[in-house]
Amino acid sequence: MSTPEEQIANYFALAGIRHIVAVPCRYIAGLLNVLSKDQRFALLYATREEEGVAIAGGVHLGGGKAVVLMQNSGLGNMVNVYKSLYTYYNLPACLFISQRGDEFDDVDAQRPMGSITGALLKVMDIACSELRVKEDMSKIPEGLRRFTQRSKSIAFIARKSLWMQP
Amino acid sequence: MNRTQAMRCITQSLTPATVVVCTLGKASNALYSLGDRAMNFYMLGSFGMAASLGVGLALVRTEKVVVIDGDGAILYNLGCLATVGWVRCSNLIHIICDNKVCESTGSQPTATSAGIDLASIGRSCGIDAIRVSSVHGLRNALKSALDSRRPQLIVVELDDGSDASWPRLPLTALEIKTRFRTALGTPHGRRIQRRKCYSSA
Repeated sequence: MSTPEEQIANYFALAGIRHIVAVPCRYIAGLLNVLSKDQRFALLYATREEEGVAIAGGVHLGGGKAVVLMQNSGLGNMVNVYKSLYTYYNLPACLFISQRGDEFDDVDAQRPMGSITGALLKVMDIACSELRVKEDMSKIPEGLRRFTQRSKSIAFIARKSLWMQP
Repeated sequence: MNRTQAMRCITQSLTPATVVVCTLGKASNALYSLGDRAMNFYMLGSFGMAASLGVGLALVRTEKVVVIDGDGAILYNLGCLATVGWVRCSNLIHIICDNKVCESTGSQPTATSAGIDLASIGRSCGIDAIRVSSVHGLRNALKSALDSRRPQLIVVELDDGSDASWPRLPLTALEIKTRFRTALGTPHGRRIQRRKCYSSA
């Protein structure tokens, strides 16, 4: 029985994703650990989310596929690069975003950005797939197809509850 | 050396297979006027991110990737030098045309006007870095960079003041992207290089 982290790694690999660009978040530390040890991927850590999405844009332009992992506060950092690079040049992005600032979060500072994450993605015109529980993981392949086959952007929003289930 | 001389020297030094990413503003307009080619990706928005886009390209391509950047642009995204050094992009050549001002927005001074040395910053990130102030120096630096198998940074000191004005480049974003990807020959992702994992040094 594979863990959610291993299952996500398998979905990424099956979709042809070889490059993982990440800005760390505590909530996805387990996933980053799994991805870093998985030889199917090259993982690199960016200094900021905007740098990360720009690197992923270069991977895509060069013919590869990359996913960018970050926490939702970083979504605010990458708005301009997403609109001025991805939207302007019609490039697809695949984002895997951990949701901070929700009812599970004990850090108050995360709440202001946490409360606007969904609205921000909507106004950026990025389709969103929310992963609250393990059963929601079945949505991942469809979201990845949107990215790899239809060249459309997709953001997976991973709630803390996804990782909390036994 | 002025921008025209520097850009001419760069375009004359490139091999046909070299991939070029160019930052927005005067750099892109000058490059278009002096040496347009399908393998040039003009990054018309997202200021400061040309080098990061270049890192992504360098990860999946075997060709040399040349990034033409400015001092204002790299100061906007200085963290990327640390990333370049960490990832050890062996096929990345980062050229920063340093005129010590943000010329496109009205020539406001940048930190390099106070003597802050981008080549030293690059060197401390593990990148081979050199400063050049003559066309001859730039030509030699480019030749050596194209032969190298380590990440390269060339800081080109430009003279004060603008030397010429170029028309805004006439291509749309989609034209730039489409012909670039066609020139790379991999619109569907063929010839992708597998690279090692960068998560630990």
